[in-house]
Amino acid sequence: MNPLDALKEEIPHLKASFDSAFLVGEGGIGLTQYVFWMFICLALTLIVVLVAAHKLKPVPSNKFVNMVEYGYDLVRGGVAKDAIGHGYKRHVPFLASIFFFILISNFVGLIPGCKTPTGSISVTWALAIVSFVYFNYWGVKAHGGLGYLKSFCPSGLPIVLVPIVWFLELVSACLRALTLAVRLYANMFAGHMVLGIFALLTSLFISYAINNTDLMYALPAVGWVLFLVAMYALEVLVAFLQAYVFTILSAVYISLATSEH
Amino acid sequence: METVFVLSALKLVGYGLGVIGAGIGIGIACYGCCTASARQPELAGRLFTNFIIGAALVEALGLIGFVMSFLV
Repeated sequence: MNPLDALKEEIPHLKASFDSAFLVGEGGIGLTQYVFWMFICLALTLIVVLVAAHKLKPVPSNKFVNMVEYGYDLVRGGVAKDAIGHGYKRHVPFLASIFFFILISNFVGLIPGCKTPTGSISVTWALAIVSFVYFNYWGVKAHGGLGYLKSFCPSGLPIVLVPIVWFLELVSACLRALTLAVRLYANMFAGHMVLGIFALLTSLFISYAINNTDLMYALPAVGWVLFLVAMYALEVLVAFLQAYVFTILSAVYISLATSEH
Repeated sequence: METVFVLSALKLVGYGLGVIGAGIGIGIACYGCCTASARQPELAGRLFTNFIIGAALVEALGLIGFVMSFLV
């Protein structure tokens, strides 16, 4: 069969491999592959951060500690300080834990054979809701319950516009959780789908060339491998960028919720 | 069979149309970031952060379209 026709039959299998299949148990309660990998990433995050914190020195000589410290400094100086400004220090632990967890989850998914937990909409929904609850909590704490609801609408508007703008701002605030979740999920899912399709094409073309001893079909496979490597490099960038974007958007939402209008 | 094919093709066309907007948006944001940091290189770091935030907000719309094309 022509390898391009074979691809059409393989794609449903590829899609099905992204569904959250049960590893243990079935039906309502059990352990899906994404939850399994989420626990592994959680353990990895804890190990990385705790080991780095254990070896902390005023002048780091260890490369690993230096790397973790650079990540922490990025969250503290580049994200929290810039986006939140005054009183940013109490938000750094939350932002740093979210950043490290998402970063490690994204990178674990890039290892062949592993699944990225953030490639499942349920995991990203959970992360987004944590962020959503967090910034609303700090908003209520800063303004008081009624004051927080009022603070959605910027002051100085004509009285007629106030309810309309207030309602639109409320909707956009509720959409923040949705967009946080969908952005991370769709980026990871689409990236891994593209990687999977290029890998499938490579293997299909090579197996066709071997089965029919037709070397002409092995040539496109070289191109597919090059595409695969290029997309892989892009995915490494995206994995970092999405963790950064999730953290910085959380920081911006916190600053919006707590700032005085 | 015919309707299924037309429906799945229309999904792709709709997603492509939706992405035009996101593409233009990110393009304009990148243009602004580049020209601004060429004029004031000392602000490049902060401008880039703002560019990332804007691009992420625009990109979310395109990605919602992507997810919708799978779900619907």
